Amino acid sequence: MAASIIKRLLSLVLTLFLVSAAVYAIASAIPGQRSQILMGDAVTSYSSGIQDEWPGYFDWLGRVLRLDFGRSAFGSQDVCSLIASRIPLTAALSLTSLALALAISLSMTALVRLDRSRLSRFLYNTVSTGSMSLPSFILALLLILVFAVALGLLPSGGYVPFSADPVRCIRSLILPSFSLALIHCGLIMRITDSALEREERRAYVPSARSRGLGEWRIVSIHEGVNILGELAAVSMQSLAGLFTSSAAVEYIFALPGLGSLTVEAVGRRDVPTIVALVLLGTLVSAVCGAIGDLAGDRGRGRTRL
Amino acid sequence: MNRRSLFFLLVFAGLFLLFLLSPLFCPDPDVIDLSQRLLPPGPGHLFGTDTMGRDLLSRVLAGGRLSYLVGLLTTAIIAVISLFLGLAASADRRLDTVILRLCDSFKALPTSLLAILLMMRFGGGVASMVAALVVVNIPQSVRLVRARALAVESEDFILAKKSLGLGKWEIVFGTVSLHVLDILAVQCAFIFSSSIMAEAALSFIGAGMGPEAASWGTILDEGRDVIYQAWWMIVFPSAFIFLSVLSLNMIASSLRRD
Repeated sequence: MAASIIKRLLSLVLTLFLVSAAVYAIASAIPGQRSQILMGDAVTSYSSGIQDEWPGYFDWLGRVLRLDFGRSAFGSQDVCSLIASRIPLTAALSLTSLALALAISLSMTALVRLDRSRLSRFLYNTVSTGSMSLPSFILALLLILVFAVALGLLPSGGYVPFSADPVRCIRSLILPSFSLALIHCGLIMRITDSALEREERRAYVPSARSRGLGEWRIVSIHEGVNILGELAAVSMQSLAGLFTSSAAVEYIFALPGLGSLTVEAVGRRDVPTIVALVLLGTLVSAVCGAIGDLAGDRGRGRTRL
Repeated sequence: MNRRSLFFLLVFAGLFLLFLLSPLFCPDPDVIDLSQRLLPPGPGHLFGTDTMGRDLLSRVLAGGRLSYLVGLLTTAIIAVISLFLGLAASADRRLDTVILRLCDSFKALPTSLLAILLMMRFGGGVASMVAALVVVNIPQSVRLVRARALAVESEDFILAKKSLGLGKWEIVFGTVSLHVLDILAVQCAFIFSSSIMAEAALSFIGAGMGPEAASWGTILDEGRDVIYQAWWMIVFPSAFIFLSVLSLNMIASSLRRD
């Protein structure tokens, strides 16, 4: 276990090093940064923070490691504190979306395994293929049309902090979480189903049946425990995806998270902020990936016993 | 090929033809007529008009042309490069270490954010979009081809070729290449559908085709501003995106099962 953790850590460091070099090479070659600065000088001369040239790679890497991403090209805000202020919302949104995706996927999979009727098979197939063909931002727009414009049940955007009004806060997160969650259901359902299929063929299943245990108990407890490793691995993969691709959905619902910061930065051609967002996204998905791999290995190790 | 996948193949081909031939029977998608703003769907304008009075049907079909052009170019370029790199990696141990290491590292880069960064580097337009999507999608395809090629190379008929005295590269590019085409076809369908989604999403958030281009993403972005007045600006482009992506995903899953 310890050896495999150290191996993963070393490979994580190498990955981050290679990625940082690639990001540096792309970002420092983005045209128009200097002319934008020269033009912007007359208007925003008070914001002296705009980097007028990219430092050398190792110099830049040193600053990044000290969390110094420079100043935003817009205004004079420090990129690091700008990003830090946006993390909580995106983290909360990603976690609620993951919980929702797991709830939908696991209940659909349980339904199709316990009730082998044609209706539940049809429902399962529709959700698993349909969800993968509906990009989250399109689902978000369609949900607004139905639940905000036509029915007027839920807000079409805006965000109220949890501390200010818990009920309105939760109401404002329902549609965004559902939009982000659905596209991840297809993969989670497929992986859960194939893992359960494999467990179904193991010797303990007929043994449990012969002792008179109910199907629900066998699937949810006996088989369920054995597929936890795979479930954790796919959850971490989805979590990384949710955290890094919420831009369009946060923009649609006007939620002040990392995603809407990305859209704002694109609009202003704010390269330092985009670079910091890419590096943060890489770190999060690399760490999620490493945790998922470890959980998957451990899960497989246990089922082999 | 069962009946259902044939149906989706026909849907996809039909959409392709519709987008390709639309300039012949549709009004110009870029003609602005401010007296005709936001008309609901009706006899004059089947899909209604947008915020500038442009015919939405022509714009949606023009958006489809753009989207499929991006998808086709991206898929073709990725197919060629990943076939070449994947086979090379499977044949040569030193090349394999380098290629695999690079692919592994880029797996951690979040694709949507990397695509945004690349679009800022290249500027807007079709060529930049294709370049960005190729860079983002290539590692996974290379790994897939490599894994399949390695599996094929361990089979007996390759050993037979070796015993006939054929060279390493000759076997890999002459024989193994033919046996990885099935998995590459599945991957191509997936790349095509994810390119369609990525182009729409990037144009939607302003990192794609530019505001004046008729793209599904920019139409939806305009529709977002008037969502309380003009449902047609959301529903029609969405339906075309869903149908395109669904038919490609169904084709891919039936190819994988065969």
